[in-house]
Amino acid sequence: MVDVRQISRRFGDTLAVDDATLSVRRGDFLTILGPSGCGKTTLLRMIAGFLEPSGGHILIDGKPMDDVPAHRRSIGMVFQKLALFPHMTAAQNVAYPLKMRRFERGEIAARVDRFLKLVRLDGLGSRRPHELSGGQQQRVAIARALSFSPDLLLLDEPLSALDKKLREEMQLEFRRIQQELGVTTINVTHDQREALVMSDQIVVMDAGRIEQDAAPEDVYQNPSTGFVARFLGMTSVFSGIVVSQTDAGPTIRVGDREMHGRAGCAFKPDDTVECALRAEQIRILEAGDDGCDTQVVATVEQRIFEGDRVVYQVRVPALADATLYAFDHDPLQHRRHGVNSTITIGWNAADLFAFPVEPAT
Amino acid sequence: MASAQSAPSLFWRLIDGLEALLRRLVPPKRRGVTGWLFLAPALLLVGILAVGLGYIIEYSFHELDIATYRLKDAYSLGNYQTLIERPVYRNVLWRSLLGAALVTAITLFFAFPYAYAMTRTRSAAMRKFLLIALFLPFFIGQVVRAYGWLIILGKQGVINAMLAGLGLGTLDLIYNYGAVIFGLIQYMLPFAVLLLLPALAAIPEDVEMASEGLGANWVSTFRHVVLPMAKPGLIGAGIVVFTLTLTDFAMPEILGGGTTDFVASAIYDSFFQISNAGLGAALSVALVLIGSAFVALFFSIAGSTTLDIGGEKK
Repeated sequence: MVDVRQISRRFGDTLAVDDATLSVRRGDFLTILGPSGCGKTTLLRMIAGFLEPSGGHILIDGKPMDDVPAHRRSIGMVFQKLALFPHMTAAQNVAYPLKMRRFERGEIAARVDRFLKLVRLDGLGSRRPHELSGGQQQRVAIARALSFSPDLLLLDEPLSALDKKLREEMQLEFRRIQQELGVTTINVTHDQREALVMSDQIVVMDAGRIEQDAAPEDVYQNPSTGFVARFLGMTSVFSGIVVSQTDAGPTIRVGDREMHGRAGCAFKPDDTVECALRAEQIRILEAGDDGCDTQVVATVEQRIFEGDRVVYQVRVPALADATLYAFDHDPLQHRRHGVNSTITIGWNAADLFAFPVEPAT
Repeated sequence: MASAQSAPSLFWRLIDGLEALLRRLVPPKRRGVTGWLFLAPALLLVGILAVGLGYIIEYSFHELDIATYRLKDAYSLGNYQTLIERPVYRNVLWRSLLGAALVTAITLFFAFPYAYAMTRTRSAAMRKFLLIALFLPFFIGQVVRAYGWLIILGKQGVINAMLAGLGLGTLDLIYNYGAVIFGLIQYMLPFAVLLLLPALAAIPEDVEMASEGLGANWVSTFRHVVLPMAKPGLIGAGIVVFTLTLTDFAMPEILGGGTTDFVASAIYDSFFQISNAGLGAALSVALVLIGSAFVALFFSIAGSTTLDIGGEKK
């Protein structure tokens, strides 16, 4: 439904978006995920028509958008700072796109009612934005972006300003509304949890380039680059040297240890690689427990209690003093490995990802 | 803990001492008074102004005694009657009001895009240029500027010299209403831009983008979003330009050359040319009343929301 083809955008000397290609299926929820300054907002603004691409094309429903100004595209957008009209009531805000698109009077009233109800603001239509709470303002913004039944909904980090609890509530609310209306949506965020919770498809961006474009589970479980592996989840990264490569994956030497891992590409012996391990895939082993392919002895450097889990930061002498992070998901067991105590940790070969070392930037 | 901290510097100990002294001199209970003390100079100035106005009002009820060229002791409404009966004063008043309205409308029309460009330009050099161009005229007094226009627009001025050189004959560009209006607009423009700037800077660019994204072209965005959001600034700038123009003296005097007097010129003439202080006072009172009435009218049109420009939005 939306096709972005090899699009680039240059600001002076910097390439904010570099040759990005992606497509969204009708009715899907796609999230562009990346750190701030990775070009995700620039990409979104080009899709919306607020910025001209320096190169490449955007197609919506197969039609090129090159010469279509923003106000002629059928796109609803929710801005980071919401950009509600402060001199209009909530209902007038929602009615604005309908008036601009010359809907009939009766239709406008019916739609304003329907969409205020959809975002659960019935009865608050006569309030001005500053008389509403943060969450309610979000709801007005989303109702305004949807009331004219746009082909596409764009979300420019609208949830980033909310506190955690409200943000998580609104994530589910956005997802509910999106699925109820079946509107194709492109969301931009730096919040990995938001991306995983809300999306059908995630595009991970870094420094203007698309790193990976896949379903949330795939992005999480099969990161295609070291950047993606580091950006999602709590990941330990350490470097090693490839000893041999088989179809099953490379064997890597780290410090004095050799271990098996998984990789998206084939390495040659003596290649330097980055190994990534997710904290939840490292197990803290009790005596006599040897269900793991690889086991190492580690020293606890820090113990962080997070309520539902305990994060251990450990140092592994056998792996050239690499620092790893491991979760204990069961704090109720009252295992208390104190700082400087020695524990045994282990993981499976399938969970150790090897990536080519990225060129230093 | 305490020993780890370095001893407070002499400066802070001095401040602490002064604060302690202040606490002893002004007990906390009477703290509220100090705030009012700071207002005293301003209140004093306003007070003197009010006393002056009182005298003017008093004068305006005494007619001139032609025999002695002093004001009569008896109170009367004669001066006001003269204002209403003599067409010359009605004309002056009408000319001033029309001029103020014209100048206000045209100045705002030109100031708006200027201020808008200043808040929206991405180029720092451009913004600097616009700012300097805005402030430069402030360094040049009104009288000097009016004379500058005389040099350019006068009978032997630059423009007429050029026209004559081209064999097109000369034009009467000064000593008429148009010249006065032109000079006033040129004088008022920086004030209007300066007053519009904060109002326009307060409109986030996102809001305009949102409007565009929701299907409004730039004309609709301007009409439904930018203009209503800029209203407080427009009203503020409008009031300032209107009152300054209505009471202006130099421009009508110099560029009008006595042919197109505004009220201020008439007041000056009454006091210093025909020595009729009573009539001048009556004219002054009329000017103050009419000016205030228009300001009140502006505010009532704008609605009460305009008044909480600086206040916390509830």
